[in-house]
Amino acid sequence: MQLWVRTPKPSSKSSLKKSNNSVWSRFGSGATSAHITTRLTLGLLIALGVGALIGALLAIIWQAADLFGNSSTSSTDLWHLLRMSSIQAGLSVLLAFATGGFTAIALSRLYVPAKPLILAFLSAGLVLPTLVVAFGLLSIWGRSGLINDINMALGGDRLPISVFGLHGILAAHTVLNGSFAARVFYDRLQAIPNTSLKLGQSLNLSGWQRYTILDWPVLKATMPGLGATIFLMCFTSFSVVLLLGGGPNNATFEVAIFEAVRLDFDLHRAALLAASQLAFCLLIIIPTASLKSTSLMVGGTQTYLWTSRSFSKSTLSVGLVIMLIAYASPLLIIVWNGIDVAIIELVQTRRFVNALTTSIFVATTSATLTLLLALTLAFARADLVYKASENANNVIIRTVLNAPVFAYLAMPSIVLGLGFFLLARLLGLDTDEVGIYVVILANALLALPLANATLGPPVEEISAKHRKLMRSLNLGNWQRITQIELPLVRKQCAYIFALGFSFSFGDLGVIALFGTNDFTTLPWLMYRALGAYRSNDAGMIAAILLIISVFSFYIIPKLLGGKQNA
Amino acid sequence: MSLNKLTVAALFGLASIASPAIADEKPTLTIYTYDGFSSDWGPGPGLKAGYEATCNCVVDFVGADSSIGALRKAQLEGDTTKADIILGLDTSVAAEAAATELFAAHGADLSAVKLPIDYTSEQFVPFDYGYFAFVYNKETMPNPPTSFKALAGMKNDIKIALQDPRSSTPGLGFVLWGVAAFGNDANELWGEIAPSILTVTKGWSEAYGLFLEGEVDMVLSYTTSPSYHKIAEENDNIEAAIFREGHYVQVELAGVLKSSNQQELAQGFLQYLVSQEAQAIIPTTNWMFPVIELAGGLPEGFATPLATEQTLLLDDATVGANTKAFIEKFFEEIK
Repeated sequence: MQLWVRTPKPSSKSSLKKSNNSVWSRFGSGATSAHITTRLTLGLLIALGVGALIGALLAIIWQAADLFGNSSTSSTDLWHLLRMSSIQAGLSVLLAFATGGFTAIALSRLYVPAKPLILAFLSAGLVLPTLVVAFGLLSIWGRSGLINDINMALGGDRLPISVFGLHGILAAHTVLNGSFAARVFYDRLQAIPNTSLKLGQSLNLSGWQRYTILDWPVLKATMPGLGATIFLMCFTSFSVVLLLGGGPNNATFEVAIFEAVRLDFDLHRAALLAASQLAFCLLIIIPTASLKSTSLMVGGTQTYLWTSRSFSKSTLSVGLVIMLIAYASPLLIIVWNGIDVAIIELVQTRRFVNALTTSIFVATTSATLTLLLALTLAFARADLVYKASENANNVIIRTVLNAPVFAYLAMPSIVLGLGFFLLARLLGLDTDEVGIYVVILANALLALPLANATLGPPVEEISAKHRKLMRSLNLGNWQRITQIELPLVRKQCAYIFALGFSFSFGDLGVIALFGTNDFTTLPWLMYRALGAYRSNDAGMIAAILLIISVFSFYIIPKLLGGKQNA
Repeated sequence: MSLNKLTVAALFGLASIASPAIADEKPTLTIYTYDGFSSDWGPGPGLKAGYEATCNCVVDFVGADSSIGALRKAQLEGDTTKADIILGLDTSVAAEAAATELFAAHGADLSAVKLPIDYTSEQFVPFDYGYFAFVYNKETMPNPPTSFKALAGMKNDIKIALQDPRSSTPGLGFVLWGVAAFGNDANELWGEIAPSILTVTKGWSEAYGLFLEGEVDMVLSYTTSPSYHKIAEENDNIEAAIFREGHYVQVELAGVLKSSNQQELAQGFLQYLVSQEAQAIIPTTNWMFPVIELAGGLPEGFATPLATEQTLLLDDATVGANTKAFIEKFFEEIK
């Protein structure tokens, strides 16, 4: 069944030839290969730049290793680590998709009060320091958590469950990523045109039919990018795995690399370990990076709510409430535990004000950078759709555009830190002074895969849908961007800015070697408080971080996202 | 908050970061240390103020993620390092640090220094020490184990949190503690304790957080940890379990780099570091024992040092040569 008008498949040879003669081929010459347009050039520059950066970071560590020449052995069983990490990350992706998909569908089919606030909450978990979320989870499900407390207050015994082990790791990752997936999926479901919904409703589609015909195609389009991002984040997840893992069996590459860098100072091994993690992750990255999003709908804002019928409505409602409680409870308890009268005193201290100011500066610049990079990359990929040539070169170009962005995620932070430090020194920069700029860059690149996964599909869809129109109007590059593409993805841009903003509040791990005394960010202040026995201060800072993050997901889309996008 | 305000805030941030400190004619003494030492809550600010009052210099603490990280940073920087002093290395990495041949002889007068165990080094000055111990809450655990053997017998009745010896100082301390107390039989001990280990965290903070949250009954920390809760929080429930087999000691050290062109200032700082004034700062900022007898005694409520016969320490050479093997054995046993 076809519920919307499908844009003609861009496959005919004649349309290909026509496009070759148009304004976009001004750089072009080859008759068969993809033309390298300005957009593509910029996109490729960024992608190759990120790729070159990764290569340079590894190479410079390798080169520095020769100076010290420590060589050591390690009992680390690499295959075991790869296997464990893959299973864990793969299951995490499945769980994130299943729970996130369900939540998004329920949200799109039900009338839910305070939807904007719920949506803001759905992204917040991901951007908090993962350790905070893990401790939030323990406050709910742990041995002395809320559930056990309630149970024991009611006269029951301590529940025989433990959050430690693989299932604990998976639970934490599902809270973190499942809620984010729900947010992204929901956004895509909102892009289904009103007309399709109304048509579907008039045809009396069942809930399941609605899912397979309307929902699944849009969800599917988002999955490769989102899945790869979540996989990589879980694969390299470090503190959660160690905290909830229940022992060295669940140890990660990061610990092995930490051992090589810090204890043994065997930089060859550190570079090799990082390279093998990267190589393994590329097996995941490259196939996903070569895919294009095939969905054909454009992100208009849906104004029509097709609510479910009574039976599935109650099922969906119950399910949604359970999911939202599961997602939100670890976060809400962070706020609950962190709100204390002492917070008034804390926010007036010089160290807090300094950390907040620095964090806002880092977050704003870093989010701007993320947005610019993500837009450039998305525009470049959209050009591949726009020109609609289906040759093999396109697949290669698409891979080259996508892969480095993901690859950055596969780099262990301690290796990034070491590499950036050596690179800064090689370039003759004063490491004390450039620290903050490295943080901005490092955070922007860390948020980029998420931004890419959010922005890529809609921008490509615009080209697919409005290709003919844009061509017939003979729009130039700039006009295409300002008059067609940007207005249509304004909402996504606002969301990405909020994402980048909250994401980049500033983990300073990457500049551990630069020296961090002159500036501190809020997450760093929180870690310091934890390390100095001040768990109350740490709890309060965590609550503040969460509130800021929810607030920015709530307010930034309102500020930047245009009128209809509350 | 409007966008404009956000921009202003951002620019404000930029300005405050970009404006360099006012140039000072005084020489700068740069000290690389671990982040916790140099942070507002640590001893750094107090020591800086104290030494600056007499040295006619500027003291600049630079915090790295760990003390070994501070050493690695200096090593990577080589001859061009700004560091004059590396502070915070401990007895478990002293051999490794000495082997880099980066450190000069300290030349400080340590006659006032009184450690619970003999420790002498040409290059390093000890400035505080502590004993590794399991910390518990006496409200929820009225009968803590009094020895490793007792702990080993508790199996699933108790849950403890440890730190990874590859990434955490106490984690490494635990492994060395076992070896110092049991020698080759340590393997057996670790195997017996394995069922009680709930998790092995990356750093001290996470494990201690698990303890404070009530997820574990005991956490590997220091005998001085309860002092924080007594003095800063007026909470008397947190105690350290004292084990019959004795406790492994961690001595924190500072050393001057040969490459420093401020040798005199740096030596002066090491001497200051073991002075009454500096040592009085240590207990309630770093929550470790001072290395000299304080004129005013330890703060009220602070832990007391253990007797010499309760103190364990492996010598630097043994630790340097065998640490990796010990760690591997430990992991084999607790898997």
